[in-house]
Amino acid sequence: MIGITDIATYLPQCRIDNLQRATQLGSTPEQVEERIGFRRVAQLDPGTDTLDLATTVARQLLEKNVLDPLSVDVLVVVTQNPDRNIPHLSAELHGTLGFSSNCACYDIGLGCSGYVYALSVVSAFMSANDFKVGILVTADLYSKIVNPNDKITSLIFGDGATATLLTTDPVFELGAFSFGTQGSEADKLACNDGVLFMNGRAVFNFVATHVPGDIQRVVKKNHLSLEDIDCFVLHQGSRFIVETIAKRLLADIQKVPFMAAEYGNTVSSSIPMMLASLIKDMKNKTMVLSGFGLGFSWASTVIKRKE
Amino acid sequence: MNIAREDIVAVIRDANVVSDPDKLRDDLTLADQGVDSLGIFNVILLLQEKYGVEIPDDDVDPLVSIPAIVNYLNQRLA
Repeated sequence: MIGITDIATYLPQCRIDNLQRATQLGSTPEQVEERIGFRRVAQLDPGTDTLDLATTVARQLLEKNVLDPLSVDVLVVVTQNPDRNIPHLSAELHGTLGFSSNCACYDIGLGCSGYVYALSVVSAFMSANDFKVGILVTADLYSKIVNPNDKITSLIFGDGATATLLTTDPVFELGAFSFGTQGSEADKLACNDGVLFMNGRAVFNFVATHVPGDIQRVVKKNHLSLEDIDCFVLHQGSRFIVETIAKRLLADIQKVPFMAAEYGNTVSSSIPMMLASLIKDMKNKTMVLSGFGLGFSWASTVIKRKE
Repeated sequence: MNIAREDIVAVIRDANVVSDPDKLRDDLTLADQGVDSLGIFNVILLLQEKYGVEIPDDDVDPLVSIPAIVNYLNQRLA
């Protein structure tokens, strides 16, 4: 069975201090700390771009797993902010990494639900084609489209990239998935003329209304109860969003970590950014992953540590 | 259905947006009593769910105080 073997992460060195600029953006340091949750957001280092981050994090994954680049059967990138629209970023990344010409490559254009969606897509693609080794990269750099003077978005989004190694001998196996879309609300979180727009209330209503129920459904679909879950790995939309979901699930807040205070909401990288450390904690045997955002779109699954 | 002040205070208590909802005053805005915009979102969502009414974005801005919310909901549900 295909599952997660390892995860590499990369955050740029550059940070924007949200506590310092909170007042000038019409917020307060207290609101930033306690509600929005992101004390600092990571920002792409000058002179670098999406392909650079994707290359750095993928190479890191190859090196730490002593993986022959020619052994990779499929390379997938989740992004909506590639350096250019054509060609697909995964093909460019394939070139920089020197992968085999037999390696399949494609991009997945999803936002905050993208990682969970991609786990399902890539694992199914690998199974269908009898592939042994897959790499799933997330690299969506929102500093390219966020207006730095927009309080609603600029205190939230940070840049980062991750690479997940998927193999037939995983550390965590993937369970059943659940997906959903509320397309009638899609324009409430959208990039118009190159600038990100977000209706914060609409996003909050969507998440609070749909995500807790989806998590309950996916847990049940995996023949588990909420008490069986060691950790709920939720997309780090904001501290307020994460705490709202925890409250609506009646979950122990200790099991619903908020880990992005020092780098921000990294969109599709948000879940694997957390997972990279959570999978090392042997107490975490059964975890829920839930991504939600753009679209409005959501996806959840359960992953289980292989015995 | 007639919605009373106590009904709104109960929702604010559920939303957990202020430490002591019983001390909230009617002559001040919720914002002036420590409820930030995210807290307002939460209160409005709970009101929508409790009373089965959709409150559009354009209607939210004037809902700044407990009396304003009481009046609004009583008009909507009349």
